[in-house]
Amino acid sequence: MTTTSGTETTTGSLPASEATSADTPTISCRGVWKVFGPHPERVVGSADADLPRAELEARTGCVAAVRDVSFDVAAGRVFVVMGLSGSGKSTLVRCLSRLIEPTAGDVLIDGDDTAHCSAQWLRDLRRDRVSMVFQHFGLLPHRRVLDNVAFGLEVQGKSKSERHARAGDMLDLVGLSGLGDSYPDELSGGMQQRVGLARALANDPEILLFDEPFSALDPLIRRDMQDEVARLQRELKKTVVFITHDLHEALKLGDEIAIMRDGRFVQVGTPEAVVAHPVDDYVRDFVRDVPREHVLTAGGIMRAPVDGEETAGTVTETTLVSDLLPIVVESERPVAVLDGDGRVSGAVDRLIVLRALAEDD
Amino acid sequence: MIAAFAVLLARVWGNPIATWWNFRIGPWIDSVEEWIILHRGNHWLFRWGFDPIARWLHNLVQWDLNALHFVTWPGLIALVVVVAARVSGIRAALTAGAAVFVIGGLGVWEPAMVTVALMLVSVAIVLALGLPLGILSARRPAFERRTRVVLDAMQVMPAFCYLLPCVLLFDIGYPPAVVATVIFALPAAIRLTSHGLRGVPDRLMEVGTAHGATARQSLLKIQLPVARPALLLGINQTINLALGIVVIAALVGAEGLGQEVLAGLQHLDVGQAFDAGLAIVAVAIVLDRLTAGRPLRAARKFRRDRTPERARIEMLAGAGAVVIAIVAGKLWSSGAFPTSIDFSLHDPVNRVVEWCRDNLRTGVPIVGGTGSISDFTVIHLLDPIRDFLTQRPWWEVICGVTAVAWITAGRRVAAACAIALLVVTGLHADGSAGGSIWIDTMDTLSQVLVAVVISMLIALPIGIWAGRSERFFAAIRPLLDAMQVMPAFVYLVPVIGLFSVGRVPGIIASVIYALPPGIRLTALGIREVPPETIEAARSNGATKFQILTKVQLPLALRSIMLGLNQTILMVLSVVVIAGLVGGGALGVDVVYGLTKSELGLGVEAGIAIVALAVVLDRMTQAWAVGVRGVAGSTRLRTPPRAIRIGKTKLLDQLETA
Ligand SMILES: Nc1ncnc2c1ncn2[C@@H]1O[C@H](COP(=O)(O)OP(=O)(O)O)[C@@H](O)[C@H]1O
Ligand SMILES: [Mg+2]
Repeated sequence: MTTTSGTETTTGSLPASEATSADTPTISCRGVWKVFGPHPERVVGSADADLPRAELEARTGCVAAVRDVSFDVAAGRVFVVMGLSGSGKSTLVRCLSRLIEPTAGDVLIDGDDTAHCSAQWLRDLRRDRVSMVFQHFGLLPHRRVLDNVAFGLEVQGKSKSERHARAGDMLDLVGLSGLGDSYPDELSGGMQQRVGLARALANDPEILLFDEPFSALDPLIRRDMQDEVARLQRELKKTVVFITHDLHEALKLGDEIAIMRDGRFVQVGTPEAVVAHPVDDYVRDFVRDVPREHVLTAGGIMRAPVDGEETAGTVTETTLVSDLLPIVVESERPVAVLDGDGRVSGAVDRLIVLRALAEDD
Repeated sequence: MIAAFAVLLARVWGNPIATWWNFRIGPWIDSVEEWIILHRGNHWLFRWGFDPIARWLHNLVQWDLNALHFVTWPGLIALVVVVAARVSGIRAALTAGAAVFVIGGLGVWEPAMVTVALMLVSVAIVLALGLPLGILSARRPAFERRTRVVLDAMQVMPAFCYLLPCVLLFDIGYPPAVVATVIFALPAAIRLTSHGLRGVPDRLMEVGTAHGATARQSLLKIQLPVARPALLLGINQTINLALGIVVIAALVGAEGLGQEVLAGLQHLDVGQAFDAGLAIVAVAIVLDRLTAGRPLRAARKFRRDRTPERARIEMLAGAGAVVIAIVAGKLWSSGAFPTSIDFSLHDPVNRVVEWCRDNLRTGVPIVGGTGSISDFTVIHLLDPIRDFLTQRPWWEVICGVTAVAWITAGRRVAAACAIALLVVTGLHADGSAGGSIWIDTMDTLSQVLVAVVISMLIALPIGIWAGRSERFFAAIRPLLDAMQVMPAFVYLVPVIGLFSVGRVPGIIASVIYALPPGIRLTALGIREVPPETIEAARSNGATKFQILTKVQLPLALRSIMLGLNQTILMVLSVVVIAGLVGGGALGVDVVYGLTKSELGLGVEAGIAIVALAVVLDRMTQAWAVGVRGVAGSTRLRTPPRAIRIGKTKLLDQLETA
């Protein structure tokens, strides 16, 4: 078993750039558990908790959907959670805004503990600071698109003119100008999810939670929507937790990826780290089909520089292996890798590149 | 184990049932009745309790009636058209207007207005109570659980059983009619409301919570609007149920269309009963069109096209039209419906009935005529079953039923069945022909079983066809609707004409009455099989017949089982009517008890009917829930309780004469 406890993996593999931001993370999960069934609190931390799910269910009648998960998301970052269906992703993301009450553990938003707070405080949290985009869009069939987008503002008690103006802006933002008068079932799936996105953005939250938002869409439309989210994220810089079961989506959007299995995080790391060094067969299965040269970077595979060696040129740490390939094919000499400040931080040669591409550890 | 227990019981109680095993419900009821008759005038319970309520209800109905008279018939047509046009669209409005006109043309304007006034008051009360309680029970599972038994009892109880107590408490006239209607329709209103609200998917409710909506906001902005179509349907159904019972309120002295039907029945004047029956259908159509609402697409178009100015103009035009119509009505023959407009079907109907009686009873080639069919049914079906049930010792029957329930439906259902039947053994009033209530219960059971089997044999093929053919379904739907709204005793008249008196006409009336839900639910089950599933079967090379038997029927089984359940309850609800035409047994006991003022006997027989309903209902419902079907797997979640919609509709009428 290569399963490591969530806490260790997370802190251990935090990229240096993130660890330096000393201020409190926007989202912080500490040892979160969610057990469904009778007497869930008895399962937490007991020996039973490590049983496979069928056995656990047979013995206690409980399903442990989330087991001891810890992670931090810094402001403006995108944290992706991946896993097969039933691995507990939806449950986890709902624990963050307490749509589902965790059985144990703490969830801190901007350092505020969400446990033991009043119902009003939670409502305000959901009204002002956290928005969610749902797998099944969650559009209200009896409302026009405009009123769907304005729903959150309506709940906050904003005036009609104010919320309609804001909702109109949001529709422009997601490229649905002029469709405010339609009803959700008159739109295509992709457009419906744009409405869902606009609704989530309407109250200008600092945190966006996505629960497999594009799983129900066709591949081409899915790609459009991913680009859309990437664009919005560049413009708006929200703190995002994004659930998906699609690795390409995870690699495209995530600053950091957590792989979830049976309620636990089995690996947390940058897209590159996950692809380059899967910790077990479960993760390896996930990343098997990824074209590694499009994910691995020079910085990730380089060796230490040797003083005075002759180099065939220079690349930066973020250069993708796919761009390195033509250079190392041309020359047997190593290529120097420069860090952000332009200093040489390492080198790669043909052998290293080939090994990185072939590697299947 | 059951057997051992039963033998022990048999030792204790003996066979026939020991005299000391007696709940004495009948005598107790009789003494209560006496007390009420003695104290009606002076006791505080009446002076400060029931009498003011009765006065209030009477005044409400009278006020409505006055209002209906004030607007006159042209005014009423205009009002109906304008309101229906606003709510349900132009076509519905024209239908509704035409229906009002037809009521007048059938020559029953005055009684129809009484029926409408009773309806307005009853439905208003039912909805005022039912909607909030429905919301409460959707949001508080504990409340739902606690009220379930009460609602079940209210729905299964034959209306007779509370019609007479209502008269005792509220005296004769409108008030007992309104109260009985409320008791009858309230459970359906509560259940349909609660069911509609629960039907709103969790994922939509979650959207509310995720946006920080309060419980109130979630209810008002998500749950109620999303459930709106289901709620409207519930209101629609509630109105249908209420209409059914308002009609039989004729029996407690509330005039109206029911009285007309009853009079026609008493004089065997089928034509008169038929006209009044048609008028009842017309009233149902009007009420339906007033509450149906527009179809989705039309509703959206209506909302989009409707500017504030246009809305104001429509308002003014509508109000103007109504006022003009009222004035015109006042000027023209002081508002009474002109007798020159007459499309009564009285005479032709009577001629058809006479012809049938003269020509079909005997001597028809091959089938031999209705008389022979009747004899055949009695000799080869009814008698053997009845004899089997009545000649067994009571404890054998109870064991048998309980064992079947245990094996097919589980322990709890078996326990319910056993208790229900044991209760029947404790009823000791002398039933019809001096037999005990137990014997009559077995007799009634035999008739119910035969009626249910015949109903299902007819309903299944028709339902299957309707499920597979959109056009056929569309064609029979209005007929099914009409069948459900017609008071059952309207069918009874031609049936007597054909079959004379006895158990068979009762069974035929029950079969006709119980057909619609069986057909509807079968068709529904078949239509709800996902098209992909059928396509998959077809792509595997299945023939049409194979698709039917291997895919559609198994998947529709659950719905069909619910249909069976509904059919049984419908048949039980007309047991009393069957009693009127010679069905005998419990039905006769109830009628006799009520007409001869032997309330004790009537109530004990009523309890026995309820006990039968409990046994059959619990068992079939458990079957329906146990079956996997279109409604999905029931694993891990508590099975959805089948909701009752149709059920004990218009029961019975009672020959007071
Ligand atoms: N309300 C619930 N009651 C019982 N079990 C649940 C409930 N919600 C989810 N589960 C179980 O928890 C596990 C994780 O579910 P979920 O979080 O929806 O997984 P994912 O989103 O990764 O597909 C599943 O096995 C599911 O059956
Ligand atoms: Mg999920």
